[in-house]
Amino acid sequence: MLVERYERRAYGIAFGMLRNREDAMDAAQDAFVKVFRNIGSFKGDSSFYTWFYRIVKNVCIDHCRKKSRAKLVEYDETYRRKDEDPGVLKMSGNTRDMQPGVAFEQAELGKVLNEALSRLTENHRSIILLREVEGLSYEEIAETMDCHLGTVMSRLHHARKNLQKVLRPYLDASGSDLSKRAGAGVRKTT
Amino acid sequence: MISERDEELLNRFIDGELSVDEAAEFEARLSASEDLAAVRDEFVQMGSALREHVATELDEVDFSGFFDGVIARLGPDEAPVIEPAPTAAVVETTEEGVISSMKAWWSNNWTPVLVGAAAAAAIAFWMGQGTSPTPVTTPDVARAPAESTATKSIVASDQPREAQPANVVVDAIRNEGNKAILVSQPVEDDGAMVIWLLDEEEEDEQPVDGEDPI
Amino acid sequence: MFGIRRTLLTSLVLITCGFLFAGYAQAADQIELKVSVIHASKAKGKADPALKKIESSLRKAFGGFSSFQQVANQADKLRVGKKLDIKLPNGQNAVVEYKGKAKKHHQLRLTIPTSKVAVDLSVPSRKMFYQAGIKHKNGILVLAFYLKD
Repeated sequence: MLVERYERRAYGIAFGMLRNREDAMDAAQDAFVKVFRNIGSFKGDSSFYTWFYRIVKNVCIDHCRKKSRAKLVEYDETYRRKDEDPGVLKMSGNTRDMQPGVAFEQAELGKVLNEALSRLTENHRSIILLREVEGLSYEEIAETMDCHLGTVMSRLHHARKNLQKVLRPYLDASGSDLSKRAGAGVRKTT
Repeated sequence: MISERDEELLNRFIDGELSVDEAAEFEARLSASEDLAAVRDEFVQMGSALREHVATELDEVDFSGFFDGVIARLGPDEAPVIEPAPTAAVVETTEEGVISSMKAWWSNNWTPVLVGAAAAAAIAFWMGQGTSPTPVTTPDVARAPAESTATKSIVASDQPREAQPANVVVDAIRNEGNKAILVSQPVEDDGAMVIWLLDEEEEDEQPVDGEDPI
Repeated sequence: MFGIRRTLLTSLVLITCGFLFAGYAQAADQIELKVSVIHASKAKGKADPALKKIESSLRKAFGGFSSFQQVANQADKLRVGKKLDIKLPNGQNAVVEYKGKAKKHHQLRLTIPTSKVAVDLSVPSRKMFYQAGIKHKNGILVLAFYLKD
């Protein structure tokens, strides 16, 4: 079913923009409501995902306006969730079964990644997620974000550079995979 | 020192946006430049970590009530068509339906029947020549044998059927492939319904942890 | 003599009614289904003249596409249980099966085997609907269905 197929992606898009789980869940559900109400406006000229993404994005923007507490972060500003104490690492369900040291590392890395994403502008964050997580091509990203191909390349370049600055201490020059650490929680000593 | 041009090419190389020749040329430059190779490795690691991180975050979210939440926000006549029909849906042709169909047919075809009957009567009159007319009795039209059908129709749609809508209605959908199905009802009265079959975007084909798939 | 005339007359009327009824019975569980296979794309150009009657409807439903070319056209009379196989230019096919009539609506099952999709529809007579989305040559295929009883 359509909802089952796209609920995770809708939530992922919304969370990427709103950085708050409850708001993202609300926005994702509202987006589906909008999809069902406006399905007649889908004309097939863009991919369904592009059409769907724009709906989710617009719903998120509306949410921001209504709630006026989730900010679209500009570069160099730091956004923190109101319910998150930066001094306390939130342990996810996945980490509870791990050894304490390993779980700690994974939680820390997840926090760092969240922090790194939050530091990006909305455009940079959207584009890096569309490319790295959704796997869209440059052309598809341009269509989804309604911008030129050159803009896509430029934003992607800057997004990666900015992420690199924050994540550099966690990246190993010898080539070990950061993702393994994100998944297994092994800290690489520098 | 990495030039801007190299950085641009590096991004396109990582994202598979270079042509075969361009990619081969850039690979040669990567082999020759440790700095460039190091940045390539960092970018690739970042991408893998992001994918893993997002997947982990999504796994922690409880989507069990998500669909109900969507339905709760929709009006009673806005709910989507639900799939699939559990068994083959075959419509049962009821006797009531046959009689009403026959009535409809009769209302369109009474003329030729009466003409035929009148012609028969005329022939009888001519043949009878003064004898009392033979009453022509039109036998009851035999009912069409009820088609042997299987199961009753299974209406899996939430669209109201009592009002006999003039539009096409989707009763059930069975989807065992990887396509998404959208049913778009026309906004205008004279519009046509569209059943969209959409390709699933390739979301799960990238290795989450950055390892070679082989 | 009189008895023979009456017998002949009754037989004539019965035969006439029989023929008329046979025609009705044949028509009751039979529809005529027309299918047009259309290639929609963003190429510059007008709609195929063969699609003139439905061009307006196509542009409303598929406003993002500018070019509509008819690739194939089929029509067939379908009795209950009969299927119409529609060959598509990309090598796939679609199948429509007539399931019968209920309350003035004709029941169809539209299947696209390669996509493992089956859709059950209630279609009033003289109503058109579309199936769209299969990708083909920088565009999509649109199947236009028109049914009448």
